[in-house]
Amino acid sequence: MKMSTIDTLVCRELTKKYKDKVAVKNFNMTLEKGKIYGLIGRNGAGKTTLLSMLSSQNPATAGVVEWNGENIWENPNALSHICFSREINIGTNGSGLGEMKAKQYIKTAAMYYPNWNQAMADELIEKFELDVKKKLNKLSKGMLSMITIIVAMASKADFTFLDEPVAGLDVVMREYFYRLLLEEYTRTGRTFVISTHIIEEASDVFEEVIMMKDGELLLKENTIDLLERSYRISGLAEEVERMTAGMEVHNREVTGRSKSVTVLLREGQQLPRGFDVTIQPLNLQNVFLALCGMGE
Amino acid sequence: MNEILTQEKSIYLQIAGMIETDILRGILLEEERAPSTNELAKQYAINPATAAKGINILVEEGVLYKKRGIGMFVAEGAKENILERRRSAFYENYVKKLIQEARSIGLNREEVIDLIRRNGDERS
Amino acid sequence: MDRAVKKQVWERTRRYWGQMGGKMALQVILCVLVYMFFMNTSISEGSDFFISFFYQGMMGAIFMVIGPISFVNTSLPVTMTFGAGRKESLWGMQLANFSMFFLLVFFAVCSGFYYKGNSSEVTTEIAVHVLVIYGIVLLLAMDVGQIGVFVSLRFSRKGTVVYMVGAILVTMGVIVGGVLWAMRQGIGDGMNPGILLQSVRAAETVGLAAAVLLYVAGFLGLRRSLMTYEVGR
Repeated sequence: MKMSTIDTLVCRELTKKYKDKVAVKNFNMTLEKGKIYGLIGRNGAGKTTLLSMLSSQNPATAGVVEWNGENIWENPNALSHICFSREINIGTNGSGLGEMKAKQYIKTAAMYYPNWNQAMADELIEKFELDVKKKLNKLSKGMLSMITIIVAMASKADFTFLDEPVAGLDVVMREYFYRLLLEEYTRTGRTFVISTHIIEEASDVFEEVIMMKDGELLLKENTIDLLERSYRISGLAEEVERMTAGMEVHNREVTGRSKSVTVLLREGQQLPRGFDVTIQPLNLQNVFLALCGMGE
Repeated sequence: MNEILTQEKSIYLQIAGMIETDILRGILLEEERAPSTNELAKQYAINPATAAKGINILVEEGVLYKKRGIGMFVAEGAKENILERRRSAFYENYVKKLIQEARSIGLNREEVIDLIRRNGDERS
Repeated sequence: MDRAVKKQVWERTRRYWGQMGGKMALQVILCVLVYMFFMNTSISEGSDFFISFFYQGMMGAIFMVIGPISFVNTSLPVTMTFGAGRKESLWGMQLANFSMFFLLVFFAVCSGFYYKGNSSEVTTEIAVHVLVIYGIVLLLAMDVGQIGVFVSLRFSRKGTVVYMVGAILVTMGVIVGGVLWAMRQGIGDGMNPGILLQSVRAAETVGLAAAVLLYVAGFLGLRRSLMTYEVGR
């Protein structure tokens, strides 16, 4: 049964090849309207490249991105519904960008996003105590993050992406960001995709989590569902092995006679009872480490 | 209800549990309005869908009911409802673990019963 | 929905890139005005006219060659981050370049009237030719600048710097050489006006043809680079 394309951003077999590596491989995914997605993956997993392609800021080597069934490539109509407020990187973009004043950067954003809300931008500039007269190269990493957050929020785009938005922000500002995100989401039902390294802090905010590994989609699942099928089993090695035979097992740790594994239950699977083991629930960070940690 | 979220149980279960505890403690009375999904999401900085899942559990159990267009309300008899369910679950949630732990440290049933009696004595 | 979108795209292109062209033109005009304010020559009655145009040509050409580099460093990544299309950016750059061009030509015409009014040496025919040459020089500079953008997108930073330095040197060389050649022909010195006119017409034709060719080549190259451009790399 073909899923309705209304209010969706879909990518099919999305691929990005460079001379020396394949950054994104055959990525297939549907983003629905009105959800907050968490995009997690190690450095170099391809998160930024993926988000860039989803917003046409980076042309795909293969595959398509469709908004409501329309290809977004060179499609200003589709692009007007998408915002990827990327990290402001003074270094690679050349000296010109650093010389730009924050005010000018935000003003240009206001020019380009058709649904821009200046009142919201002004309110956030004040809340963040941002000196917009300063040049971008005179601002700290945290303040640059604040600017990307302001642009993302004020763009009022249906599909808004943020790449490591809390980099450089202290814990108080990070908490403020999550609350701001939820408030805006609750008020408007916009779709957000947030990529982050600070997984545990943000996981309560994600309705679905998208896990990327080596350029591929590892899983895309409702956060609660994922956590409800993930457990850490430990005890006597033979006991643990007997119990978890036939299950999806990760992150095996052996110390002396004790063994510890992470299991992810498959559809319909239940945890077998009657084994003398310790069963612990896991948080999102634990699951991520089990699936994408060293040696997996 | 102003507890903090822990890592032990799924968030939505904790939310449901907190609302139940508030009902038991008389913080939320029957026929009073329960916090909405959005209010819970805001208070705990969690996704509204998670909060909704917690509320749905309580609706399914008959602890809360929905008044169209207004919101969620505490059902009549909710307190009894909660007490009864918690009593039924007492064996599963507490006693079983007690026995398991006792077994693993080598206490037999008599010794466990003695300890329980002692608690009773100390309190009165 | 489509028409409203097209309108919005045009609006933002006009505002952003049009302003950019205007700003750059203003910078040149300011430089020229400052210079003209301090200029104090009395070699001959008409020399102010030529010197002013020489200076305008020099400044204008340099700015038209270097200016577009800021497109690559700043304008392009920023506008494309905010959702600008690639064809949209291509036309935006054309708008910036041509806005600058027409503003500078307009200013040149005004200055031409001003200086010509002060001198009887400069006939209308001479003034027109000087203006045409000035325009062609600007166009050539614009083309060099556009090719510079293409080079910058396609090649490494080192390649771009080499190109830019080389382009500026060549540009200045052409202008200076052209002026020396004109002086050698002895403008206003009573040389055979017929031959002089022929040479000038020939130079104009060649210059215009070169300008058109370089423009098309640069435009096509730029379009190709923009289609594969990646923000953030």
